Amino acid sequence: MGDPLIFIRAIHFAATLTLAGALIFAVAVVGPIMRQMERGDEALRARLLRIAWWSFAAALISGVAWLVVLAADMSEPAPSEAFSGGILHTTFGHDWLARLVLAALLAAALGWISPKHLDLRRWAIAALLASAFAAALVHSGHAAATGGWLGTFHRAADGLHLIAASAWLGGLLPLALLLTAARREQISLALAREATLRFSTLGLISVGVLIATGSVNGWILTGSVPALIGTDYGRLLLAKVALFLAMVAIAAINRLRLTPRLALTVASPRCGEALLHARSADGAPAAARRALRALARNSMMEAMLGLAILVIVGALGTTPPGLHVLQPTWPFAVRYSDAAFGDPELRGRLALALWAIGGGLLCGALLTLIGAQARRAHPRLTPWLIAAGTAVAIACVAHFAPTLTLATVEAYPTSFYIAPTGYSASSILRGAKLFATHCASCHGREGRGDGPAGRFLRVKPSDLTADHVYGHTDGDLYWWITNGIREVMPPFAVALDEEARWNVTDFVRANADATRLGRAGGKVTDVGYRAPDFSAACPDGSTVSRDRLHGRVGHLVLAGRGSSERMAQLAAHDRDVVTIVTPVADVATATACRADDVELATALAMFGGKDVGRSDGVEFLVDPAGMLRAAWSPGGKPDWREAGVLKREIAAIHNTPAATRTTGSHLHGR
Amino acid sequence: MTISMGIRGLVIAIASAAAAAAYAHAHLARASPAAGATLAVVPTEVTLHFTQQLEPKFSTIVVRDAAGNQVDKGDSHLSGEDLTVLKVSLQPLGSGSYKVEWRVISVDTHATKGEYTFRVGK
Repeated sequence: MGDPLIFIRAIHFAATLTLAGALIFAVAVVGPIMRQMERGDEALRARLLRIAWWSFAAALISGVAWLVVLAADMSEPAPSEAFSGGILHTTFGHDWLARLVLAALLAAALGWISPKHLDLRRWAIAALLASAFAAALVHSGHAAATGGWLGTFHRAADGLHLIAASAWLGGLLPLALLLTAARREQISLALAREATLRFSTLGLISVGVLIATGSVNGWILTGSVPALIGTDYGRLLLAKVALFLAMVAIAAINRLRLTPRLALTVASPRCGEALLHARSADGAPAAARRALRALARNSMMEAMLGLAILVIVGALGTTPPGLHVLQPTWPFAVRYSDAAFGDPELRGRLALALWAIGGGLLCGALLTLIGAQARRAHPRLTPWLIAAGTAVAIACVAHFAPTLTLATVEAYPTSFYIAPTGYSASSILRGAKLFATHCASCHGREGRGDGPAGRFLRVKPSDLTADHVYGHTDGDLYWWITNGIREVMPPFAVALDEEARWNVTDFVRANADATRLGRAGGKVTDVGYRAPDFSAACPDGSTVSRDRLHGRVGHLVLAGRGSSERMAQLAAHDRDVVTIVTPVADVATATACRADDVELATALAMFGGKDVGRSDGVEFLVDPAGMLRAAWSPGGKPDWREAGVLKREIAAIHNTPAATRTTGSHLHGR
Repeated sequence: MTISMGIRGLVIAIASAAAAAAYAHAHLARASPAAGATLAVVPTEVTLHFTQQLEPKFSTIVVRDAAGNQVDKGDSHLSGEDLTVLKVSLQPLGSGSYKVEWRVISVDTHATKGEYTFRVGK
């Protein structure tokens, strides 16, 4: 479905950017110096106007094509809707109508411009309208779908990004034309140099804006390193950045090496003309002409790279943002782990290594810089200083870089996968059954590594309730279950399908968490244990769920026949708590929310350390982030039924957010 | 050098784009009733939370019973305050298995669809 759209998008972006770029070029680059032109200015204006009209036509045609292809895509659920104008009632449709109005105004503004006379005001009006026409593209891309204040920020950054890209990318074709005109002596060399300098200043500002706004957009749409390097979207973005850097490198060569050569023949713009002709015999203009040709060629090369970038932009718009990809593929054999930073001794060594590497690189760079600066005054010192700088940098990195491996752990392609099961009660329970069938013989019924078959193994089966489980991501566990561990554990890719392997992963996680929560004995824990997914309907018609507690503490009660008295007692809860009844048997309540999933009680009973048959009356506290923080069974101390006790525990949750566990995966909440 | 880099980038872009075109956009973040859930209480509506804002005119939920009959009221609508939440009301349901089919278009114009089942009664 996306294929034709990629190219239509690329063409539309190229046309829109060229349109705005040519007009910005006319206003900001050649406009102010045109008064000094003795010849060729009218032809140049005519050319710029022609570029504007052609790209305007291309933008219109590709814009219509975009709308038609999209309407065809959208028509699947409601065939008549999209083509009978339904698409015009979407965000995209509104944007296209607004841009159509801008296009009409722009056509009028372009028609108002006459190349015969220099009237910068008319060019400026057209340039403003064309910039708005480009910036309005934000509503047709991913930025349109970001909500809230972040969305406003995202769209503002995206709009600036489009205008800056117009100013640079869209100005390359006009620049190449101007340089060619100068080479053919249709305009003077001095003016070509002046224009090139002005354009490179404009380019420098654009690059700054592009980097700043591009970083903002890139981070909003990827949001993590695995999403950047492990998804199609992220990799396309990296390819785009690489092409962008190549463009910047060419621009730097133009500015630092080629443009000064134009000045070899021109002492000052004013008398440049005279010099050009006076010295045409000694070959200097030939060097300048070579520089002109190189500049024109480089500009076209930049423009081609820019076009490649726009094809990537076309593809990015039809690719789901990395942020929303649940299964980014991790390409490296190790990953960063902040577990090492939790150890005071290791933390010190890691900090020292980071400072030493940073300091070493800085020292090296400083020495090299001083060496380069001293080239004129002390030419003999220069190589020594540069060598010393390089040596310091290499020594620091070589000596301290190995320390950094302390902060890395082994990683697998699936390390950053997020379980598609959503940690639901049914997934955990299904995982429990599968674990009993496939895993318990070695790992033991409760996962403690004490299964009967395990005794005969050379390497003892892992205790899946021990601390080390928390050093691994869900994706790591999933990888081992799928592929096994060489000479230690068999792979289960054949015996269990993908969903079943995630079910087992969910159970292993729940089992380890349940062991720890059980030890806390009615007191709020510092660490949060992810609650199985739940949602509940409340008497006022609203719903609450694990991920949407709206800043309140959830008080989950496994209520059965004997719970009526307790429910009456809980009717007087404070506003910062929401009571959620998980019926074990029918129970009447007028004030509590009611969880709908019958399997939730069974899954929660596991966290309460009970079989479902005896879990009547077990209670849990879930913090606003959806983490289990305390569990209590009738008869347990402190007694949650006593006045003030439960209140104190709830206050403790509000006062101390749980330390985040790095390993549990969860869907980002948006 | 730079031109060959550009061409290589172009090729990577086109290849990746072709590979990526099969994916979807607005993802289902959570559902109520949840996928695979067994409900003791008969639900009166299906609520789906997505990762992106949706186009109301082009986003629908259809709920069918085991025989394939449509059991929703055909009133798919966005939850007033939140443009990422799509709802549909249900006719009175009996015990049994139900399939939720959804198809949405996010405001950045991309279509996604999916389905899941839930059960009512033990």
